[in-house]
Amino acid sequence: MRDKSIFISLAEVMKKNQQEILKAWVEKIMSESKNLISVWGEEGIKKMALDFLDFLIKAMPHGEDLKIEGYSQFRVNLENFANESVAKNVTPSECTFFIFSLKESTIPIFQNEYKEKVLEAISSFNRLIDGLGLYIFETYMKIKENIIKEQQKALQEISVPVVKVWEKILLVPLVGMLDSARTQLIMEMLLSAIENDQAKVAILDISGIPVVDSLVAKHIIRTVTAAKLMGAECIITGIRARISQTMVQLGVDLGGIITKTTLADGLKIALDLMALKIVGK
Amino acid sequence: MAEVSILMMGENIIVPIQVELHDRAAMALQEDILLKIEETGASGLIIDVSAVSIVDSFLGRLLGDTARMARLMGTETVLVGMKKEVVITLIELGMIIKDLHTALNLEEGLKLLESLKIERVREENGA
Amino acid sequence: MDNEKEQQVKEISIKSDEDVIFVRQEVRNLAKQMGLSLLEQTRIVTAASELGRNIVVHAREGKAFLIKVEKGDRQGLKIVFRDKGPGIPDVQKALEEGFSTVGSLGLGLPGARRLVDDFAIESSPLEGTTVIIIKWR
Repeated sequence: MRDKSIFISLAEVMKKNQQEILKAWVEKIMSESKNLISVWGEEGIKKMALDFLDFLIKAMPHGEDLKIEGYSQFRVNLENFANESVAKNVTPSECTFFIFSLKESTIPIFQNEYKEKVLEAISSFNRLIDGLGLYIFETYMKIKENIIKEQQKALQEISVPVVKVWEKILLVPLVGMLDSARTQLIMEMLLSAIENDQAKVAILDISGIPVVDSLVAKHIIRTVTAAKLMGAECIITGIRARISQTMVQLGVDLGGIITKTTLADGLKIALDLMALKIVGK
Repeated sequence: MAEVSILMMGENIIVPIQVELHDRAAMALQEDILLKIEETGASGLIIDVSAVSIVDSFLGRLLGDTARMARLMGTETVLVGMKKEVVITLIELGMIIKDLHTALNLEEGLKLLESLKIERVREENGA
Repeated sequence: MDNEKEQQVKEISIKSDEDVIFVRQEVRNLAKQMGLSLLEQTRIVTAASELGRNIVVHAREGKAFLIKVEKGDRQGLKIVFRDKGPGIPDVQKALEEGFSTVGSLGLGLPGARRLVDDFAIESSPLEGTTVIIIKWR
Protein backbone atom coordinates (compact mmCIF):
# COMPACT_ATOMS: atom_id res chain seq x y z
CA MET A 1 0.00 0.00 0.00
CA ARG A 2 1.89 3.03 -1.26
CA ASP A 3 1.91 6.21 0.76
CA LYS A 4 -0.93 8.49 -0.34
CA SER A 5 0.31 11.64 1.34
CA ILE A 6 2.38 12.72 -1.66
CA PHE A 7 -0.78 12.66 -3.78
CA ILE A 8 -2.67 14.76 -1.29
CA SER A 9 0.07 17.37 -1.50
CA LEU A 10 0.25 17.06 -5.30
CA ALA A 11 -3.48 17.70 -5.51
CA GLU A 12 -3.09 20.85 -3.40
CA VAL A 13 -0.19 22.10 -5.51
CA MET A 14 -2.11 21.48 -8.71
CA LYS A 15 -5.19 23.21 -7.41
CA LYS A 16 -3.11 26.23 -6.45
CA ASN A 17 -1.55 26.40 -9.91
CA GLN A 18 -4.50 25.11 -11.87
CA GLN A 19 -4.75 27.98 -14.35
CA GLU A 20 -1.06 27.90 -15.21
CA ILE A 21 -1.03 24.13 -15.67
CA LEU A 22 -4.12 24.28 -17.84
CA LYS A 23 -2.57 26.92 -20.06
CA ALA A 24 0.69 25.00 -20.51
CA TRP A 25 -1.16 21.78 -21.18
CA VAL A 26 -3.49 23.17 -23.81
CA GLU A 27 -0.57 24.95 -25.50
CA LYS A 28 1.34 21.70 -25.72
CA ILE A 29 -1.60 19.87 -27.25
CA MET A 30 -2.23 22.64 -29.75
CA SER A 31 1.35 22.69 -30.90
CA GLU A 32 1.85 18.94 -31.18
CA SER A 33 -1.42 17.33 -32.14
CA LYS A 34 -3.07 18.77 -35.21
CA ASN A 35 -5.58 15.97 -35.39
CA LEU A 36 -6.94 16.48 -31.90
CA ILE A 37 -7.56 20.12 -32.76
CA SER A 38 -9.18 19.38 -36.07
CA VAL A 39 -11.51 16.88 -34.38
CA TRP A 40 -12.52 18.89 -31.32
CA GLY A 41 -11.56 22.43 -32.15
CA GLU A 42 -9.64 24.81 -29.91
CA GLU A 43 -12.58 25.49 -27.63
CA GLY A 44 -13.37 21.81 -27.37
CA ILE A 45 -9.82 20.95 -26.33
CA LYS A 46 -9.80 23.73 -23.74
CA LYS A 47 -13.06 22.53 -22.22
CA MET A 48 -11.94 18.89 -22.12
CA ALA A 49 -8.65 19.80 -20.49
CA LEU A 50 -10.47 21.99 -17.95
CA ASP A 51 -12.85 19.19 -16.99
CA PHE A 52 -10.05 16.64 -16.85
CA LEU A 53 -7.98 18.74 -14.50
CA ASP A 54 -10.98 19.32 -12.25
CA PHE A 55 -11.74 15.62 -12.02
CA LEU A 56 -8.11 14.70 -11.59
CA ILE A 57 -7.49 17.15 -8.77
CA LYS A 58 -10.60 15.92 -7.01
CA ALA A 59 -9.63 12.27 -7.34
CA MET A 60 -5.91 12.51 -6.72
CA PRO A 61 -5.95 12.58 -2.91
CA HIS A 62 -7.16 8.99 -3.09
CA GLY A 63 -3.78 7.84 -4.32
CA GLU A 64 -2.75 6.08 -7.50
CA ASP A 65 -5.01 3.03 -7.50
CA LEU A 66 -7.49 3.75 -10.30
CA LYS A 67 -9.77 0.91 -9.31
CA ILE A 68 -11.03 2.43 -6.09
CA GLU A 69 -14.31 4.25 -5.58
CA GLY A 70 -12.73 7.70 -5.44
CA TYR A 71 -11.74 7.42 -9.09
CA SER A 72 -15.06 6.12 -10.38
CA GLN A 73 -16.32 9.48 -11.60
CA PHE A 74 -13.04 10.18 -13.32
CA ARG A 75 -13.06 6.76 -14.94
CA VAL A 76 -16.45 7.51 -16.46
CA ASN A 77 -15.01 10.74 -17.79
CA LEU A 78 -12.09 8.84 -19.33
CA GLU A 79 -14.38 6.25 -20.84
CA ASN A 80 -16.48 8.94 -22.50
CA PHE A 81 -13.33 10.44 -23.93
CA ALA A 82 -12.25 7.05 -25.29
CA ASN A 83 -15.73 6.50 -26.73
CA GLU A 84 -15.74 9.81 -28.52
CA SER A 85 -12.23 9.23 -29.78
CA VAL A 86 -13.20 5.93 -31.34
CA ALA A 87 -16.31 7.46 -32.85
CA LYS A 88 -14.35 10.37 -34.30
CA ASN A 89 -11.54 8.18 -35.63
CA VAL A 90 -8.84 9.57 -33.38
CA THR A 91 -5.97 7.08 -33.15
CA PRO A 92 -5.22 5.38 -29.81
CA SER A 93 -1.87 7.15 -29.57
CA GLU A 94 -3.41 10.56 -30.12
CA CYS A 95 -5.95 9.67 -27.49
CA THR A 96 -3.32 8.78 -24.92
CA PHE A 97 -1.12 11.69 -25.98
CA PHE A 98 -3.84 13.92 -24.60
CA ILE A 99 -3.17 12.51 -21.14
CA PHE A 100 0.57 12.04 -21.36
CA SER A 101 1.19 15.61 -22.46
CA LEU A 102 0.04 16.69 -19.00
CA LYS A 103 3.29 15.33 -17.56
CA GLU A 104 5.56 17.90 -19.19
CA SER A 105 3.19 20.74 -18.40
CA THR A 106 3.47 20.15 -14.68
CA ILE A 107 7.23 19.75 -14.30
CA PRO A 108 8.10 23.46 -14.03
CA ILE A 109 5.37 23.93 -11.41
CA PHE A 110 6.53 21.00 -9.29
CA GLN A 111 10.14 22.14 -9.55
CA ASN A 112 9.05 25.46 -8.16
CA GLU A 113 6.85 24.19 -5.35
CA TYR A 114 8.85 21.24 -4.12
CA LYS A 115 12.41 21.54 -2.81
CA GLU A 116 13.92 18.25 -1.61
CA LYS A 117 10.89 16.19 -2.46
CA VAL A 118 10.76 17.30 -6.11
CA LEU A 119 11.94 13.90 -7.47
CA GLU A 120 9.39 12.00 -5.45
CA ALA A 121 6.65 14.42 -6.53
CA ILE A 122 7.44 14.23 -10.22
CA SER A 123 7.89 10.47 -10.31
CA SER A 124 4.69 9.82 -8.33
CA PHE A 125 2.70 12.13 -10.56
CA ASN A 126 4.14 10.56 -13.70
CA ARG A 127 3.24 7.10 -12.42
CA LEU A 128 -0.33 8.24 -11.97
CA ILE A 129 -0.50 9.79 -15.43
CA ASP A 130 1.03 6.68 -16.97
CA GLY A 131 -1.67 4.62 -15.28
CA LEU A 132 -4.36 6.90 -16.64
CA GLY A 133 -2.88 6.77 -20.13
CA LEU A 134 -2.82 2.98 -20.09
CA TYR A 135 -6.36 2.86 -18.82
CA ILE A 136 -7.53 5.05 -21.68
CA PHE A 137 -5.63 2.97 -24.18
CA GLU A 138 -7.14 -0.28 -22.97
CA THR A 139 -10.62 1.20 -22.86
CA TYR A 140 -10.18 2.47 -26.39
CA MET A 141 -9.13 -0.98 -27.62
CA LYS A 142 -12.05 -2.68 -25.90
CA ILE A 143 -14.51 -0.29 -27.48
CA LYS A 144 -12.97 -0.82 -30.91
CA GLU A 145 -13.09 -4.60 -30.51
CA ASN A 146 -16.75 -4.50 -29.58
CA ILE A 147 -17.58 -2.43 -32.61
CA ILE A 148 -15.78 -4.84 -34.88
CA LYS A 149 -17.59 -7.77 -33.32
CA GLU A 150 -20.94 -6.10 -33.86
CA GLN A 151 -20.11 -5.34 -37.47
CA GLN A 152 -19.08 -8.91 -38.08
CA LYS A 153 -22.30 -10.12 -36.61
CA ALA A 154 -24.31 -7.75 -38.77
CA LEU A 155 -22.45 -8.87 -41.88
CA GLN A 156 -23.07 -12.48 -41.03
CA GLU A 157 -26.75 -11.89 -40.62
CA ILE A 158 -27.02 -10.09 -43.94
CA SER A 159 -25.38 -13.04 -45.59
CA VAL A 160 -28.24 -15.23 -44.42
CA PRO A 161 -31.38 -13.68 -45.79
CA VAL A 162 -34.57 -15.54 -45.03
CA VAL A 163 -37.23 -14.43 -47.46
CA LYS A 164 -40.96 -14.91 -47.22
CA VAL A 165 -42.03 -15.83 -50.74
CA TRP A 166 -45.61 -16.69 -49.96
CA GLU A 167 -47.98 -16.99 -47.07
CA LYS A 168 -46.23 -19.41 -44.70
CA ILE A 169 -43.54 -20.31 -47.23
CA LEU A 170 -39.96 -19.23 -46.59
CA LEU A 171 -36.97 -19.24 -48.90
CA VAL A 172 -33.41 -19.47 -47.64
CA PRO A 173 -30.81 -19.00 -50.39
CA LEU A 174 -27.64 -20.57 -49.01
CA VAL A 175 -24.52 -19.03 -50.46
CA GLY A 176 -20.86 -19.76 -49.93
CA MET A 177 -19.10 -22.22 -47.66
CA LEU A 178 -21.21 -23.92 -45.06
CA ASP A 179 -19.31 -24.56 -41.84
CA SER A 180 -20.76 -25.30 -38.42
CA ALA A 181 -20.65 -21.66 -37.31
CA ARG A 182 -22.61 -20.49 -40.34
CA THR A 183 -25.01 -23.39 -40.08
CA GLN A 184 -25.64 -22.38 -36.52
CA LEU A 185 -26.48 -18.86 -37.62
CA ILE A 186 -28.67 -20.09 -40.46
CA MET A 187 -30.52 -22.41 -38.10
CA GLU A 188 -31.18 -19.63 -35.64
CA MET A 189 -32.42 -17.25 -38.30
CA LEU A 190 -34.55 -19.85 -40.02
CA LEU A 191 -36.17 -20.97 -36.78
CA SER A 192 -36.87 -17.38 -35.74
CA ALA A 193 -38.47 -16.75 -39.12
CA ILE A 194 -40.58 -19.90 -38.85
CA GLU A 195 -41.74 -18.76 -35.45
CA ASN A 196 -42.48 -15.21 -36.52
CA ASP A 197 -44.22 -16.03 -39.80
CA GLN A 198 -45.80 -19.27 -38.60
CA ALA A 199 -44.30 -20.77 -41.74
CA LYS A 200 -45.20 -24.29 -42.77
CA VAL A 201 -42.64 -24.76 -45.54
CA ALA A 202 -39.01 -23.71 -45.87
CA ILE A 203 -37.24 -23.91 -49.22
CA LEU A 204 -33.47 -24.20 -48.87
CA ASP A 205 -31.78 -23.26 -52.12
CA ILE A 206 -28.26 -24.58 -52.31
CA SER A 207 -27.30 -23.49 -55.83
CA GLY A 208 -24.92 -20.97 -54.27
CA ILE A 209 -22.95 -23.60 -52.37
CA PRO A 210 -19.86 -24.59 -54.35
CA VAL A 211 -19.16 -27.93 -52.72
CA VAL A 212 -21.58 -30.35 -51.14
CA ASP A 213 -19.60 -33.08 -49.42
CA SER A 214 -20.71 -35.27 -46.53
CA LEU A 215 -19.87 -32.63 -43.95
CA VAL A 216 -21.88 -29.95 -45.74
CA ALA A 217 -24.70 -32.43 -46.22
CA LYS A 218 -24.66 -33.08 -42.48
CA HIS A 219 -25.13 -29.38 -41.82
CA ILE A 220 -27.96 -29.19 -44.33
CA ILE A 221 -29.66 -32.19 -42.76
CA ARG A 222 -29.36 -30.67 -39.29
CA THR A 223 -31.00 -27.51 -40.52
CA VAL A 224 -33.82 -29.50 -42.10
CA THR A 225 -34.28 -31.48 -38.88
CA ALA A 226 -34.43 -28.28 -36.88
CA ALA A 227 -37.14 -26.83 -39.13
CA LYS A 228 -39.08 -30.08 -38.89
CA LEU A 229 -39.00 -30.02 -35.10
CA MET A 230 -40.67 -26.66 -35.30
CA GLY A 231 -43.36 -28.05 -37.50
CA ALA A 232 -42.15 -26.83 -40.89
CA GLU A 233 -41.48 -29.02 -43.90
CA CYS A 234 -38.29 -28.47 -45.88
CA ILE A 235 -37.62 -28.64 -49.59
CA ILE A 236 -34.13 -28.44 -51.01
CA THR A 237 -33.71 -26.82 -54.39
CA GLY A 238 -30.74 -25.93 -56.54
CA ILE A 239 -29.29 -29.40 -56.93
CA ARG A 240 -27.58 -29.20 -60.27
CA ALA A 241 -25.96 -31.96 -62.32
CA ARG A 242 -22.53 -31.69 -60.77
CA ILE A 243 -23.78 -31.59 -57.20
CA SER A 244 -26.03 -34.59 -57.74
CA GLN A 245 -23.04 -36.52 -59.10
CA THR A 246 -20.83 -35.62 -56.14
CA MET A 247 -23.50 -36.46 -53.62
CA VAL A 248 -24.26 -39.88 -55.01
CA GLN A 249 -20.59 -40.71 -55.50
CA LEU A 250 -19.83 -39.72 -51.92
CA GLY A 251 -22.81 -41.68 -50.72
CA VAL A 252 -24.49 -38.65 -49.24
CA ASP A 253 -27.98 -39.62 -48.16
CA LEU A 254 -30.46 -36.82 -47.72
CA GLY A 255 -33.00 -39.22 -46.31
CA GLY A 256 -36.60 -38.41 -47.10
CA ILE A 257 -36.07 -34.75 -47.86
CA ILE A 258 -37.78 -33.53 -50.99
CA THR A 259 -35.29 -32.16 -53.48
CA LYS A 260 -35.64 -30.31 -56.76
CA THR A 261 -33.41 -28.56 -59.23
CA THR A 262 -35.19 -25.32 -59.91
CA LEU A 263 -36.66 -22.89 -57.48
CA ALA A 264 -39.89 -22.88 -59.48
CA ASP A 265 -40.35 -26.61 -58.98
CA GLY A 266 -39.61 -26.23 -55.32
CA LEU A 267 -42.21 -23.52 -55.01
CA LYS A 268 -44.78 -25.65 -56.78
CA ILE A 269 -44.22 -28.48 -54.30
CA ALA A 270 -44.42 -26.00 -51.43
CA LEU A 271 -47.75 -24.70 -52.66
CA ASP A 272 -49.01 -28.24 -53.13
CA LEU A 273 -48.03 -29.01 -49.59
CA MET A 274 -50.09 -26.08 -48.52
CA ALA A 275 -52.85 -27.27 -50.83
CA LEU A 276 -52.84 -24.14 -52.95
CA LYS A 277 -52.49 -23.91 -56.67
CA ILE A 278 -51.35 -21.18 -59.00
CA VAL A 279 -53.94 -20.98 -61.70
CA GLY A 280 -52.81 -19.77 -65.10
CA LYS A 281 -54.67 -16.92 -66.75
CA MET B 1 -49.23 -37.23 -9.19
CA ALA B 2 -51.09 -34.85 -11.46
CA GLU B 3 -49.21 -31.57 -11.54
CA VAL B 4 -49.77 -31.61 -15.26
CA SER B 5 -53.37 -31.47 -16.37
CA ILE B 6 -54.62 -33.81 -19.06
CA LEU B 7 -57.52 -32.29 -20.96
CA MET B 8 -60.01 -33.68 -23.42
CA MET B 9 -61.06 -31.75 -26.48
CA GLY B 10 -63.43 -33.72 -28.65
CA GLU B 11 -61.60 -36.84 -29.66
CA ASN B 12 -58.23 -35.46 -28.72
CA ILE B 13 -56.21 -35.41 -25.56
CA ILE B 14 -54.35 -32.19 -24.85
CA VAL B 15 -51.46 -32.13 -22.41
CA PRO B 16 -49.95 -28.73 -21.75
CA ILE B 17 -46.69 -29.11 -19.84
CA GLN B 18 -46.35 -26.02 -17.75
CA VAL B 19 -43.96 -27.04 -14.99
CA GLU B 20 -40.40 -28.28 -14.91
CA LEU B 21 -40.64 -32.05 -14.84
CA HIS B 22 -38.08 -34.08 -13.05
CA ASP B 23 -37.50 -37.60 -14.34
CA ARG B 24 -39.94 -39.42 -12.06
CA ALA B 25 -42.67 -36.87 -12.70
CA ALA B 26 -42.15 -37.24 -16.45
CA MET B 27 -42.49 -41.02 -16.23
CA ALA B 28 -45.63 -40.67 -14.15
CA LEU B 29 -47.04 -38.29 -16.74
CA GLN B 30 -46.40 -40.81 -19.49
CA GLU B 31 -48.33 -43.41 -17.56
CA ASP B 32 -51.20 -41.02 -16.91
CA ILE B 33 -51.40 -40.15 -20.59
CA LEU B 34 -51.46 -43.75 -21.71
CA LEU B 35 -54.12 -44.61 -19.14
CA LYS B 36 -56.20 -41.72 -20.39
CA ILE B 37 -55.93 -43.01 -23.96
CA GLU B 38 -57.06 -46.40 -22.77
CA GLU B 39 -59.94 -44.87 -20.88
CA THR B 40 -61.18 -42.58 -23.66
CA GLY B 41 -60.02 -44.21 -26.88
CA ALA B 42 -58.83 -40.82 -28.07
CA SER B 43 -57.65 -40.70 -31.67
CA GLY B 44 -55.26 -37.81 -31.17
CA LEU B 45 -52.80 -36.60 -28.57
CA ILE B 46 -51.30 -33.15 -28.41
CA ILE B 47 -48.39 -32.48 -26.11
CA ASP B 48 -47.84 -28.75 -25.74
CA VAL B 49 -44.27 -27.91 -24.84
CA SER B 50 -44.45 -24.19 -25.49
CA ALA B 51 -43.79 -23.50 -21.81
CA VAL B 52 -40.91 -25.94 -21.56
CA SER B 53 -37.53 -24.29 -21.63
CA ILE B 54 -35.33 -27.34 -21.16
CA VAL B 55 -35.68 -30.64 -22.97
CA ASP B 56 -32.75 -32.89 -22.19
CA SER B 57 -32.06 -36.38 -23.51
CA PHE B 58 -34.30 -38.02 -20.93
CA LEU B 59 -37.34 -35.91 -21.66
CA GLY B 60 -36.67 -36.03 -25.39
CA ARG B 61 -36.57 -39.79 -25.30
CA LEU B 62 -39.64 -39.95 -23.11
CA LEU B 63 -41.65 -37.80 -25.51
CA GLY B 64 -40.62 -39.96 -28.45
CA ASP B 65 -41.45 -43.14 -26.56
CA THR B 66 -44.82 -41.76 -25.50
CA ALA B 67 -45.71 -41.05 -29.13
CA ARG B 68 -44.72 -44.56 -30.15
CA MET B 69 -46.67 -46.11 -27.29
CA ALA B 70 -49.68 -44.00 -28.16
CA ARG B 71 -49.50 -45.06 -31.78
CA LEU B 72 -49.58 -48.72 -30.73
CA MET B 73 -52.84 -47.86 -29.04
CA GLY B 74 -54.11 -46.25 -32.22
CA THR B 75 -53.48 -42.64 -31.25
CA GLU B 76 -51.48 -40.14 -33.29
CA THR B 77 -49.33 -37.67 -31.37
CA VAL B 78 -48.34 -34.12 -32.28
CA LEU B 79 -45.77 -32.18 -30.31
CA VAL B 80 -46.52 -28.48 -30.45
CA GLY B 81 -44.77 -25.26 -29.60
CA MET B 82 -41.16 -26.33 -29.25
CA LYS B 83 -38.99 -23.32 -28.54
CA LYS B 84 -36.26 -22.71 -31.07
CA GLU B 85 -33.56 -22.73 -28.39
CA VAL B 86 -34.79 -26.17 -27.36
CA VAL B 87 -34.77 -27.35 -30.97
CA ILE B 88 -31.21 -26.23 -31.56
CA THR B 89 -30.05 -27.76 -28.29
CA LEU B 90 -31.76 -31.09 -28.97
CA ILE B 91 -30.05 -31.33 -32.34
CA GLU B 92 -26.68 -30.59 -30.79
CA LEU B 93 -27.40 -33.17 -28.13
CA GLY B 94 -27.68 -35.61 -31.01
CA MET B 95 -31.29 -36.50 -30.39
CA ILE B 96 -33.19 -37.80 -33.33
CA ILE B 97 -36.82 -37.90 -32.36
CA LYS B 98 -38.20 -40.14 -35.03
CA ASP B 99 -41.79 -40.57 -36.07
CA LEU B 100 -42.87 -37.62 -34.06
CA HIS B 101 -45.21 -35.13 -35.67
CA THR B 102 -44.66 -31.54 -34.75
CA ALA B 103 -46.48 -28.27 -35.19
CA LEU B 104 -45.87 -24.68 -34.34
CA ASN B 105 -48.85 -24.25 -32.05
CA LEU B 106 -52.05 -25.82 -30.77
CA GLU B 107 -54.13 -24.64 -33.71
CA GLU B 108 -51.75 -26.11 -36.27
CA GLY B 109 -51.44 -29.24 -34.19
CA LEU B 110 -55.19 -29.84 -34.22
CA LYS B 111 -55.28 -29.26 -38.00
CA LEU B 112 -52.49 -31.77 -38.41
CA LEU B 113 -54.32 -34.34 -36.30
CA GLU B 114 -57.38 -33.86 -38.48
CA SER B 115 -55.49 -34.46 -41.71
CA LEU B 116 -53.71 -37.46 -40.17
CA LYS B 117 -57.05 -38.91 -39.22
CA ILE B 118 -58.43 -38.43 -42.72
CA GLU B 119 -55.38 -40.10 -44.17
CA ARG B 120 -55.66 -43.02 -41.82
CA VAL B 121 -59.29 -43.55 -42.68
CA ARG B 122 -58.38 -43.52 -46.36
CA GLU B 123 -55.64 -46.08 -45.74
CA GLU B 124 -57.91 -48.33 -43.77
CA ASN B 125 -60.49 -48.20 -46.54
CA GLY B 126 -57.88 -49.45 -48.97
CA ALA B 127 -57.37 -46.28 -50.99
CA MET C 1 -0.60 -11.66 -18.61
CA ASP C 2 -3.85 -13.60 -18.37
CA ASN C 3 -5.10 -13.51 -14.84
CA GLU C 4 -7.60 -16.20 -13.96
CA LYS C 5 -10.08 -15.50 -11.23
CA GLU C 6 -12.66 -17.83 -9.76
CA GLN C 7 -15.53 -17.08 -7.48
CA GLN C 8 -17.68 -19.90 -6.16
CA VAL C 9 -21.31 -18.88 -6.20
CA LYS C 10 -23.11 -21.97 -4.96
CA GLU C 11 -22.66 -25.53 -3.80
CA ILE C 12 -25.59 -27.86 -4.41
CA SER C 13 -26.08 -31.32 -3.03
CA ILE C 14 -27.50 -33.79 -5.57
CA LYS C 15 -29.33 -36.80 -4.24
CA SER C 16 -32.57 -36.99 -6.16
CA ASP C 17 -34.45 -35.99 -9.27
CA GLU C 18 -35.75 -32.88 -7.55
CA ASP C 19 -32.20 -31.79 -6.79
CA VAL C 20 -31.41 -31.94 -10.49
CA ILE C 21 -34.28 -29.55 -11.15
CA PHE C 22 -32.88 -27.26 -8.48
CA VAL C 23 -29.46 -27.35 -10.15
CA ARG C 24 -31.08 -26.43 -13.45
CA GLN C 25 -32.85 -23.47 -11.92
CA GLU C 26 -29.74 -22.19 -10.18
CA VAL C 27 -27.60 -22.59 -13.30
CA ARG C 28 -30.21 -20.77 -15.33
CA ASN C 29 -30.36 -17.91 -12.84
CA LEU C 30 -26.61 -17.53 -12.78
CA ALA C 31 -26.34 -17.77 -16.57
CA LYS C 32 -29.02 -15.13 -16.98
CA GLN C 33 -27.34 -12.91 -14.44
CA MET C 34 -24.04 -13.25 -16.29
CA GLY C 35 -25.67 -12.08 -19.48
CA LEU C 36 -25.57 -15.29 -21.50
CA SER C 37 -27.99 -15.33 -24.44
CA LEU C 38 -31.16 -17.41 -24.21
CA LEU C 39 -29.64 -20.03 -26.49
CA GLU C 40 -26.47 -20.23 -24.40
CA GLN C 41 -28.54 -20.46 -21.23
CA THR C 42 -30.53 -23.35 -22.69
CA ARG C 43 -27.34 -25.13 -23.68
CA ILE C 44 -25.58 -24.98 -20.37
CA VAL C 45 -28.68 -25.78 -18.34
CA THR C 46 -29.34 -28.80 -20.55
CA ALA C 47 -25.73 -29.93 -20.15
CA ALA C 48 -26.05 -29.49 -16.39
CA SER C 49 -29.24 -31.56 -16.46
CA GLU C 50 -27.45 -34.42 -18.21
CA LEU C 51 -24.52 -34.38 -15.82
CA GLY C 52 -26.66 -33.95 -12.73
CA ARG C 53 -28.75 -36.90 -13.80
CA ASN C 54 -25.63 -39.03 -14.23
CA ILE C 55 -24.85 -38.45 -10.58
CA VAL C 56 -28.31 -39.48 -9.42
CA VAL C 57 -28.45 -42.52 -11.67
CA HIS C 58 -24.91 -43.84 -11.34
CA ALA C 59 -23.47 -42.49 -8.11
CA ARG C 60 -26.62 -41.88 -6.10
CA GLU C 61 -25.22 -38.72 -4.59
CA GLY C 62 -22.79 -35.96 -5.37
CA LYS C 63 -22.34 -32.23 -5.56
CA ALA C 64 -22.46 -29.46 -8.11
CA PHE C 65 -20.36 -26.33 -7.69
CA LEU C 66 -21.40 -23.21 -9.59
CA ILE C 67 -18.46 -20.92 -10.21
CA LYS C 68 -17.95 -17.59 -11.95
CA VAL C 69 -14.63 -17.48 -13.80
CA GLU C 70 -12.70 -14.64 -15.36
CA LYS C 71 -9.82 -15.14 -17.74
CA GLY C 72 -8.34 -11.87 -18.88
CA ASP C 73 -11.26 -10.18 -20.58
CA ARG C 74 -13.56 -13.15 -20.76
CA GLN C 75 -16.21 -14.15 -18.30
CA GLY C 76 -17.42 -17.70 -17.97
CA LEU C 77 -19.79 -19.94 -16.05
CA LYS C 78 -18.05 -23.02 -14.69
CA ILE C 79 -19.80 -25.97 -13.12
CA VAL C 80 -18.01 -28.81 -11.36
CA PHE C 81 -19.92 -32.06 -10.87
CA ARG C 82 -18.32 -34.32 -8.30
CA ASP C 83 -19.33 -37.68 -6.94
CA LYS C 84 -17.73 -40.56 -5.05
CA GLY C 85 -19.49 -43.19 -7.11
CA PRO C 86 -18.16 -46.31 -8.81
CA GLY C 87 -16.47 -44.27 -11.54
CA ILE C 88 -16.63 -44.79 -15.30
CA PRO C 89 -14.56 -47.83 -16.29
CA ASP C 90 -13.64 -46.60 -19.76
CA VAL C 91 -13.85 -42.82 -20.00
CA GLN C 92 -12.64 -42.74 -23.59
CA LYS C 93 -15.41 -45.04 -24.71
CA ALA C 94 -18.01 -43.16 -22.70
CA LEU C 95 -17.11 -40.03 -24.61
CA GLU C 96 -17.75 -41.74 -27.91
CA GLU C 97 -21.10 -41.64 -29.58
CA GLY C 98 -23.71 -44.07 -28.38
CA PHE C 99 -21.94 -45.75 -25.49
CA SER C 100 -23.93 -46.47 -22.35
CA THR C 101 -24.27 -48.85 -19.46
CA VAL C 102 -27.79 -48.49 -18.22
CA GLY C 103 -29.72 -49.27 -21.37
CA SER C 104 -30.20 -45.63 -22.25
CA LEU C 105 -28.84 -44.31 -25.49
CA GLY C 106 -25.69 -42.89 -23.97
CA LEU C 107 -26.30 -39.32 -24.99
CA GLY C 108 -25.19 -37.99 -21.65
CA LEU C 109 -21.48 -37.25 -21.92
CA PRO C 110 -20.86 -36.65 -25.62
CA GLY C 111 -24.03 -34.58 -25.87
CA ALA C 112 -23.18 -32.47 -22.84
CA ARG C 113 -19.69 -31.94 -24.20
CA ARG C 114 -21.03 -30.56 -27.48
CA LEU C 115 -23.17 -28.05 -25.65
CA VAL C 116 -20.34 -26.37 -23.73
CA ASP C 117 -17.06 -24.69 -24.59
CA ASP C 118 -14.66 -26.40 -22.19
CA PHE C 119 -15.13 -29.93 -20.93
CA ALA C 120 -12.92 -32.05 -18.68
CA ILE C 121 -13.55 -35.36 -16.95
CA GLU C 122 -11.68 -37.52 -14.47
CA SER C 123 -12.95 -40.80 -13.20
CA SER C 124 -11.71 -43.76 -11.18
CA PRO C 125 -13.29 -46.38 -8.89
CA LEU C 126 -11.35 -44.96 -5.95
CA GLU C 127 -11.91 -41.27 -6.41
CA GLY C 128 -15.27 -41.25 -8.12
CA THR C 129 -16.04 -38.93 -11.01
CA THR C 130 -15.45 -35.24 -11.56
CA VAL C 131 -16.79 -33.43 -14.61
CA ILE C 132 -15.96 -29.79 -15.26
CA ILE C 133 -17.80 -27.71 -17.85
CA ILE C 134 -17.36 -24.06 -18.80
CA LYS C 135 -19.45 -21.80 -20.99
CA TRP C 136 -17.82 -18.53 -21.92
CA ARG C 137 -19.74 -15.36 -22.59
